[in-house]
Amino acid sequence: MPAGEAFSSAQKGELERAIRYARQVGDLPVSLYVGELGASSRPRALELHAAFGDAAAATVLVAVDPGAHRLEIVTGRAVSRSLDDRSAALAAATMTSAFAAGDLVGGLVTGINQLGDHARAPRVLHADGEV
Amino acid sequence: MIRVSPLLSPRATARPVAPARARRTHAVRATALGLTALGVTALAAVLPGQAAGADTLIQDGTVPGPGLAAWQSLALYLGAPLLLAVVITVLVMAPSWVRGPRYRPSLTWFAAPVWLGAPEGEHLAGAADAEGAGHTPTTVDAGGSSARW
Repeated sequence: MPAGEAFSSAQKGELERAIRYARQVGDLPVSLYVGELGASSRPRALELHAAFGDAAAATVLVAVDPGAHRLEIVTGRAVSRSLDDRSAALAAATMTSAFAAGDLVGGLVTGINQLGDHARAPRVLHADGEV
Repeated sequence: MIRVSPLLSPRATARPVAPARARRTHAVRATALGLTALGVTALAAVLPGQAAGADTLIQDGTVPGPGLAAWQSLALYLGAPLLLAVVITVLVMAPSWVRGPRYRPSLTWFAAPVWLGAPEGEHLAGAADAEGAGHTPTTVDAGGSSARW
């Protein structure tokens, strides 16, 4: 039964900072959804991801259902080039281990930061001049 | 050069720097000590006599004050500790009351959906309520990961 705010303003600020970090460091637009995903969490997460329309291909959706203990990371086609499924799975493991300990915000912040770090293209000397 | 301890040195006993004033101070100290010892002994001897005659001699602390009423006793021995316990409980719990409910893995989720960085022009409630609808567009070629805890 939804009642009350999921996050305090300070926690929301932390999450927004993490999202901003991922955008700055990894050029990764992260969208975070925290709420019920229903029985079939993956299709529901894909629906939510599709709501971005044209921007969906370049968006990462982190969808968490804290009540059902489900986490879905959906990467658009364009994003999956810089953020592969293995990196997403690693970030998911980071998040779920924190969630299991009851640290929802901490897990999300660490996980989103990790997504941004993984998406960061490694700097290579021969390409520095071109970018 | 060997320094001899004043205690071992025979000269120490016949120190020329021991003036009459110092000797007088010693005498005064010894007298004071003796008098104090005498006073303590005398007091010890007198006190039992005083205790015996306590009904005639009124001293602070020997006279009982007015007794406590029943409600006063209750307030003092029951009310005050309870009040103290309540105050401590409030002080301990206040931060979590201010912070509100927090996520616990064993409990159900309590809050309405939150979407940070939601798609532009998309109403949060509208997107969240469109559950199970077959015609909702779905991202087909998506990557990512699923996890449970």
